[in-house]
Amino acid sequence: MVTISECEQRTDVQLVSLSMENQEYYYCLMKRYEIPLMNYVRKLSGMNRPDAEDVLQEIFILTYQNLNDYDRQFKFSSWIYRIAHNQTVSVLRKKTKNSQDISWEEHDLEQLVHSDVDIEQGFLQKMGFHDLLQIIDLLPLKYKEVLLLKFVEGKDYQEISDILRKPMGTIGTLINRAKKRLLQEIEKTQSR
Amino acid sequence: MTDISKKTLEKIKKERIHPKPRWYFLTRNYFFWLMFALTTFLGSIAFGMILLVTGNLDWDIYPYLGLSLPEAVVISLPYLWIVLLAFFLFITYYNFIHTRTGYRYRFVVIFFISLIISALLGFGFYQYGWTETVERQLRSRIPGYQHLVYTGENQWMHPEKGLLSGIIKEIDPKKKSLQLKDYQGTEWTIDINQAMIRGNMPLIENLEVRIIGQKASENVFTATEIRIRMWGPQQGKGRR
Repeated sequence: MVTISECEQRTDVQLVSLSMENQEYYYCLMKRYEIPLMNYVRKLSGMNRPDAEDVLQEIFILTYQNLNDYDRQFKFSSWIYRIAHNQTVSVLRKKTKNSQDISWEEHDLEQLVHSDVDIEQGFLQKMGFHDLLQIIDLLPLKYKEVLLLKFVEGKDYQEISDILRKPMGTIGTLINRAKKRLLQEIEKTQSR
Repeated sequence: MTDISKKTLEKIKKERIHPKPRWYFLTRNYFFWLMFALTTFLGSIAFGMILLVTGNLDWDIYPYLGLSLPEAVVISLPYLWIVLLAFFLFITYYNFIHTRTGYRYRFVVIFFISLIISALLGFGFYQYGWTETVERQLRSRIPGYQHLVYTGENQWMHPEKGLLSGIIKEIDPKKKSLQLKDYQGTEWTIDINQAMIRGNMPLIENLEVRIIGQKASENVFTATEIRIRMWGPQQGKGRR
């Protein structure tokens, strides 16, 4: 059995190569991405934990089956996030989402607020955390996913482009539109 | 929290799941490149056909048909080939974005680069006369092709308006007349006494010609101008 400490000094790319020879090394890769991907799946989909765990297991199996498709010119994290994204969206299309269990956290929202000087400062306090969560969750998926990748997962434009398989220019446009749309929704809520 | 990683590894072992072979992914990637090349080639043919069909039209005869230039343009555009070109460009785009890094490029960039490649290759096909071969094949093998594309033949099949075209079947130098079979299969006797002949070769049998003149009676036409029909990039030279 390969131990986590054995894997710690290995890069993702090395672990991919080793996983082809020995499945135990794949455990290390999964362990490395388990928490970030679980958070990503839950934030993107609003799924409860057991459902998200099922999706995550499918993601890991798909990733393993497709290891030979991994191209070293990309970051492994972008590649595995792409698989996670596609699988989550695919499951979302099949299932009715359980929006009661939204997993965005206050910390995520603060990152989003501080990321953009155009966004009205302090609105988070004004409108309340729960209301904001509901607004973000109501945004179309194409806006929600870029906000999540940029401000919560901290990905740069190139990584988001590789994850969503869209040109970088389109990613920039989507992020700007997502921010504007979020502001509009907030203003609408505040004026009610 | 459940140890998903451990659970997944057990499942991988239990169900004997293995990574798909590398050749599977390479084949898939090559397939998209191959389709990209194929649709670019088909787009080039469509572009070449647009050049051939529009180049084959005579833009100075529309007054005979009572049409203004804008009206002439609207009825003369080769819509079939324009639609096919757009279709192949779209499929080219689709194939390109499915290659490994194709998604990094914007739609307009891929679209215009594909259009430029199709235009360059299409111009080459037209210059070498390949589109002309395609045109002949389509006309002979696809029934109704002439109704789908407004060709020079459609343009010149108006004897009552003074325009006629077809193939010379026989020449009578004494009577200064010729027998012509038009594209609908009707045989005509053409009086060429007053006709000005435009072209860089003499009139011979089996030559395609376009005639301006007047319908004298049933199946008899008096020519005032005869244009020898040239194919491909040679077309138009007959008018000089």
